[in-house]
Amino acid sequence: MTDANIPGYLGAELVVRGRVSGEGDLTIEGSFEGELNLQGDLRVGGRGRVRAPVIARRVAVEGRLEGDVEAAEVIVREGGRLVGDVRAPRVGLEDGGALLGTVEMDVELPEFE
Amino acid sequence: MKKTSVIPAGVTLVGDIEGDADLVVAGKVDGPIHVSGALLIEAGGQVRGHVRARTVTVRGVLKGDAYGELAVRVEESARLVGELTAPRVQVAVGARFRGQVHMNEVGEPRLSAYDPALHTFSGLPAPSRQAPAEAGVFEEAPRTPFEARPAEAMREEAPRAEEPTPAPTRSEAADPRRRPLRMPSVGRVRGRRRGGS
Repeated sequence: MTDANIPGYLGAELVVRGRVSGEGDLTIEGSFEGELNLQGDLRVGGRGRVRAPVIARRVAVEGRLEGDVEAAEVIVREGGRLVGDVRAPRVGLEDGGALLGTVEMDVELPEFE
Repeated sequence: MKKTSVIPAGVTLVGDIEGDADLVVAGKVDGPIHVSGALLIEAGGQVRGHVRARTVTVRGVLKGDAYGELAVRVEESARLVGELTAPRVQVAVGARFRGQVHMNEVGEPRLSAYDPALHTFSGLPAPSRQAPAEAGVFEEAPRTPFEARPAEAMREEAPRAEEPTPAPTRSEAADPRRRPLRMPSVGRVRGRRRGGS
């Protein structure tokens, strides 16, 4: 029996096109093309292929993500590849991960003497 | 055992889903679904669009037709407007259901291939053509066909090195029309025999 707290999961065998929105977390191991707007976390799994602009709370990329990302935290893990611009206060790029794009972050620099 | 895919409660997809998988919809899907495994529309889940799966179980809301290769089951908590087509169809007492039921009998075409030209499966006529008098019932259900080409294109785009080449989709494998006919070349056999003697 599935309950309301079961996490969202799109398996590697699935091809999904369209616009996803909502408050839950989502893991994508399959192919997704469209638009993602989540109040929860997005994980693009190692087999995930996502082509979409993404807005989410936290984004972890282990597979491929093509699209601009806006989140509170973005992490590109080993083997992950993110092609797009990232706007997030916390951005992580692990060894073996790839980020092709611009990182936009409000950075406060100290006054130069 | 493959992990079941889930559209969770609180998540909405406007678009379509297809693939070789089991799927649970606890959230909302506005668009067609075509999976080769089991499809469960959970209580609280909502789908607007035609759905097709090996087995279709509806506990939530479905606005659209349900095609089950083996079975379609409508449970007590379900609310459903659409047609049910499967060799075995169950509708529980208490379920809210409006639409026709088509029970495939032996000898009728198997539900095995989606025909985009007919916007339906297996060569069965589209529901709107089949029952024009009742077309109003299905007016609000989308008739969007599955677009096979973009899906294939997406698979091809994915790098091949890291994953095995995808198995031919169900419709390709099942559709005998796609296989070229091979005739034995009689002339060539004869020629060889002559040369040998």
